[in-house]
Amino acid sequence: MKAFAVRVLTQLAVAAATLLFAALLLLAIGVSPGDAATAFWNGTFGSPTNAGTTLTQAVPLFLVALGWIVADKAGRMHVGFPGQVVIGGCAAAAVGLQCDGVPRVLAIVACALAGIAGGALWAGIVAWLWASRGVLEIISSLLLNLVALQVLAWLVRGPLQGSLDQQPQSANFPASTLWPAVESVPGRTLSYDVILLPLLAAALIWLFARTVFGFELRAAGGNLDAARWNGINPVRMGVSAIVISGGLAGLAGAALLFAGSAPWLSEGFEAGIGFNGIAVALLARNSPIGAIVTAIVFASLNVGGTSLQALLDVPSSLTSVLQGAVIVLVLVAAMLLRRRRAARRPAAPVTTTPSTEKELVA
Amino acid sequence: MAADPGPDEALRLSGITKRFGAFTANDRIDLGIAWGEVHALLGENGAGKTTLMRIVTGLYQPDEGTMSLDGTPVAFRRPEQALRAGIGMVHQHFTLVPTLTELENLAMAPAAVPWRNGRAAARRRAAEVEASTGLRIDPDRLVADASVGERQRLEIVKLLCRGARLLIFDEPSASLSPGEWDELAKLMRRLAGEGHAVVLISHKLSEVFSVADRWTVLRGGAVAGTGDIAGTTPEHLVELMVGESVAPRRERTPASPGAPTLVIRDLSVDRLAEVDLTVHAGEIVGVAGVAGSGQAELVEAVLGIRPAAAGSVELSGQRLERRTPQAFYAAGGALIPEDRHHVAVVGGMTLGENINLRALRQAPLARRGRINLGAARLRARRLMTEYEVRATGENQPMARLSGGNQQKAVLARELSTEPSLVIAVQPVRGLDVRATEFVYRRLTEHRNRGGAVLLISMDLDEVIALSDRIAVLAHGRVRGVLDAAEATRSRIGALMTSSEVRP
Repeated sequence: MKAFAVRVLTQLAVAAATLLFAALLLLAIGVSPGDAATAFWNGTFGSPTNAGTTLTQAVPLFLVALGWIVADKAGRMHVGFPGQVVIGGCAAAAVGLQCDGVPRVLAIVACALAGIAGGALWAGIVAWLWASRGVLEIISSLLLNLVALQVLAWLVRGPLQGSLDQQPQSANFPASTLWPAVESVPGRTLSYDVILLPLLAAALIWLFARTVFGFELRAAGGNLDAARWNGINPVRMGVSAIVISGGLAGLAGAALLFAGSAPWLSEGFEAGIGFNGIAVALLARNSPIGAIVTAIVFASLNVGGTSLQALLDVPSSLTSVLQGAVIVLVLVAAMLLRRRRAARRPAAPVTTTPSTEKELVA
Repeated sequence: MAADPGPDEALRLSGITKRFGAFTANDRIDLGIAWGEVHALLGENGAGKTTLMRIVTGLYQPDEGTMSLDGTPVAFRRPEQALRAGIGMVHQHFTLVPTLTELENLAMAPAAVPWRNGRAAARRRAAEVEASTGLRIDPDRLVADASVGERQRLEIVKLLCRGARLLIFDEPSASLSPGEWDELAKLMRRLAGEGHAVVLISHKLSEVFSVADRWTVLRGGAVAGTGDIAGTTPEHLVELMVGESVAPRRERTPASPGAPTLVIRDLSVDRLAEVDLTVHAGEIVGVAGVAGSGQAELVEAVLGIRPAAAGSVELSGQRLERRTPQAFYAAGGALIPEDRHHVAVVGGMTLGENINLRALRQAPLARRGRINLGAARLRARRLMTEYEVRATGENQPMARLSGGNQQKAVLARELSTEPSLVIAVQPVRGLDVRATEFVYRRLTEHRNRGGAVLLISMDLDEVIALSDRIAVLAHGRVRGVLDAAEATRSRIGALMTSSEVRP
């Protein structure tokens, strides 16, 4: 209970420090922090329209964060989310563009599945290289991000190019493929896919705690050798985790396209979601529930940054500076917590000495 | 100060004592090494040889006692200081960089000026060493391309280049072929002939008798005896090494072995060659042997972690065709592994999850892939009580438990499934007296219920105290199987140190 209080206090301290940092930054460029706070609030949650935008933007971030959490639980640290988002989006777009006249439910499901499949396949390359060749997943996934970006650049100029003025982007998606939005919100900015936030968080928690698969995944991630010696196939677990995580990133790609404000495929639609999603998961300490909160925080920083720029001429790059500041502050807080904990349990190493002694003598 | 160091005395240790916590690894050791001799240092695992040599080479500092080199008192705080004084060690695991050439490995020394790589100097030194000892290296060959024997030779040249006059060989033949050993033996004689001092740590008495001038036996951290090779016999040395049994045999009922549970035939894995071993229901078979005799290979081959070159394994009448850990457990096997931290527990998971690590994945705790958390919790709690695991609760992270409680949790996991065979490797390593007694009692109870136990241990007392039959493993072969009644420390010791069959 005390540990929990300490954690909450640290998180509040991080938030306060970030706000202070932001205020100083705004003062430095000559903007009143009070005005900025008002503009930020109005832009993010001040109106139903803007709140809808914020929540909808949180979904792809959250999906990528879940992907990171799944891979991390299995001990596989891959960073291929940008590539998987892009390829998932491309696959979903390719299917979506063919869905003119297809019943709406069918079209939506087909696009979502195509996105999942695209991301999972792209991640499958990483998994295969790791399982069969021992290629470090962090390296191969990072490099495949670059390949994915080139694939996208080619698609929007080649096979999927569809805009009338020869811009590098696809034709607009048929209306039947666009994901439904809440009618009562003006501007229809709140996509129904926000129900994925609680649903998938609960599903993931259930998977880890209540299923044999989730248990084996965690065991393989906790100690690969012990898992193997106890009859768990750690390679299968690692491959599954990477592929599932890719599927979630691919779904994020589909969400960006079909629940976003621009219903066409273009270069740059990924918009940094892939890496920001990792930050979302890390800030939430890999907790699916926490990731809902941090994803909304990150999305509001994006949306609020835009409104600051529009109303007060604050450069939108300030948002990125703030996001960076949050990450650094959280890391510092985590480090301080760990030091505190280490200082408070000096007894731990002493209890293990008998075994080390014997090893030394042996 | 030593009263009257002889003219040839190189190193003199007086009253060296080293403690780790409450454990005394070296107890008032006196030892003299002379220039021009090959001195064999013998002893069981844990007798204190390695600790002593680490003190001599500056890795450890003694708690008590003094060292003198050439009659001058010395104290080494770092290995470099020992090396500068002329004491060098050829480790079992070589300290070479495989991706560099042999010459580059020689040149890799703390340089006086950092931007000079000392390659020319190394070449000159190597030539000098070759001129004086005949040890030839291939300067431009990559170490990765050199054979084990050649690497060892490079290691020796490296020490000589750095001015080592007292060379310590830590079980040098462990990785050598017989031919390479003969060469090394000749080299040791030549080094001694030139006035170097050579210390040979070995388990193989045949090697000791073929090359050494004098011997010293350590037992339980103290010197058990010392003398000239010429005036002794292998039997005498074995007796000194293993000593008289201190642990009385445990009171228990005589074994009533039933049908064979584990049958190993002609198993060959890496250094393990043609091992035949049978464990019956209701008996404990101990495997004795010094560390590295093939115990790890045996366990990993039966479990299916390490692919076997030849041979078959039968468990509870089922032949394990494609050996995997899954098949081993499915056939009724259980394993208490030696390396608890790496292969037995998942430190980041809870105590309960570790106890249920296998049970949780099948009926009755799991059905159709879903886990019954309530039943799992009850099972974990029941086993925690039954196996006396002390913890704040079943949700305590495994890594926070003491070593003894972690081992009890492993025991609970392995014995609770009523296995037909338990393989226990060094099951009491790192445990205190109470926990040790607990583990012994559990294993014996398992046997009395009709279970089979394969006990693999480097501790002879443990093997003798628990086993109904004892198989002695040496250099990857089973040298003999003794009945508990006829097994004495000296008989087992003689088999353990018996030399390799050489063509």
